[in-house]
Amino acid sequence: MSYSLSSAAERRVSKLPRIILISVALLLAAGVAARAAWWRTGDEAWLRLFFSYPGALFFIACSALEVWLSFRCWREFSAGDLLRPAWLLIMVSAALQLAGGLLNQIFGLDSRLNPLTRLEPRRAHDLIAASARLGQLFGPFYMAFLACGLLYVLKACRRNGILGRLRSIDLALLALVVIYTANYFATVVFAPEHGGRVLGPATIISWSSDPLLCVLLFQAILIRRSLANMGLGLVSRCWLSFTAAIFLTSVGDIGLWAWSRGYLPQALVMASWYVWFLPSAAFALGPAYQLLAMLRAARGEIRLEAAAAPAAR
Amino acid sequence: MRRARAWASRWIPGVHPGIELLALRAEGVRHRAVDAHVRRCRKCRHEADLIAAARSRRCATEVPGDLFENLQLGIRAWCSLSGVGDAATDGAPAARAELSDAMETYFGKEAARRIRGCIRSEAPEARLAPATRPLFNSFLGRRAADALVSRIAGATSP
Repeated sequence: MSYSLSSAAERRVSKLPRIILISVALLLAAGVAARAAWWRTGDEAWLRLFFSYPGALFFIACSALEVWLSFRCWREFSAGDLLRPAWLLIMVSAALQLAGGLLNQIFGLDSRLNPLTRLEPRRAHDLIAASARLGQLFGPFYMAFLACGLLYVLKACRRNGILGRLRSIDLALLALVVIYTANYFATVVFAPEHGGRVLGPATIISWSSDPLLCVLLFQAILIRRSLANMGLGLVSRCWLSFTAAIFLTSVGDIGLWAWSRGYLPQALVMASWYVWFLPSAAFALGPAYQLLAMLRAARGEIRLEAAAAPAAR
Repeated sequence: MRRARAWASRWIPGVHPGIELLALRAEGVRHRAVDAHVRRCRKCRHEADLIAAARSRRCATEVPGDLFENLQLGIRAWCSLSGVGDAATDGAPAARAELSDAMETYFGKEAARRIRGCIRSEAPEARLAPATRPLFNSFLGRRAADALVSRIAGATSP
């Protein structure tokens, strides 16, 4: 039995998961080094430098990669395929994440990567502040599109009889995030001063991100229960990456809230900042595994080349 | 789970018992909730009639109709993958099979184990491959699923 050899594109895609994982590990190592330099010298410029350059570029690169890979996945599906609309929605979600990332991490920061800093200082300051504010609005939209995309995945699981059931630990985790959201709404949204924010369309849009995160987490847990039951094949890894990304986003969100309230011990403050790189990488890993699975399946590959080689010998 | 689904189909509008419960009903496993739903729902009544007709045709002719066999195979594969079939609980080692290898590559070891149990009890792996096509179709797309399933069928046909 022989099947066509992997194409150059497939070989490139097959290297992506490893490249993403190595990149995030290197970035976290650089982050720890920046933290150590800050601790030794007392100069917080080290930390600012880390978040403004390698950190910002990593966020943008992961989002751009997710857009490109999701687009490729969408194109690999034929019209009428169940998950084709899911990948379109995921691609739109990734594009919104990229737009938000550009506004937040590039145009919203006072760094050399930002072309706005070359403008007249007062005008640059206003534009940078506006970019940072605008960038935050993309969060709820990307979550909404992602939630719609994941609905199709749940539909596919249900149709194929592999839809899992929630366990006690899942319900406990969901309850934790719902309690956090309820607390946020009680102390900010329904509070007389709205947490010191001016009530406007932008504020109202930004409030929807926590309820959306609850929905996403519910979907992610259900997908994890459905596909983790099957094992760790390429398709399962794709959806488990999305699940991990959503879970880590929740952790980062709760971490930021706890930090702003002073509930977080000093040792965990840095972890709550660095944790955001992990969902970014996981969001890029998901479509990488999916595309790899589709390219290999289209070639009729039954078992992985690495596993097939010793058997052939 | 089956009982919950049957109960839900009786009391919750829009919830149907599904092909598995309807097939069991045709085989004589009666459930009052499913009967009540079938009496009420035109779509499920039609599906139940089709299953019953296929079954009676098979019994009458004593010749295993391909359609019915494939339907049974499909149901068994579906049940195995969702972990409700008997095959999934069979843990004895089985021969290396193309379909189970493909399941392992794309879905994972547990999916491969479940389908391997199904292959052992049903023997014709080449015929089981089309039964798992909906799963590959859903998650990999028709184009990739076609290539994969025809490769499996080609590799396993005598």
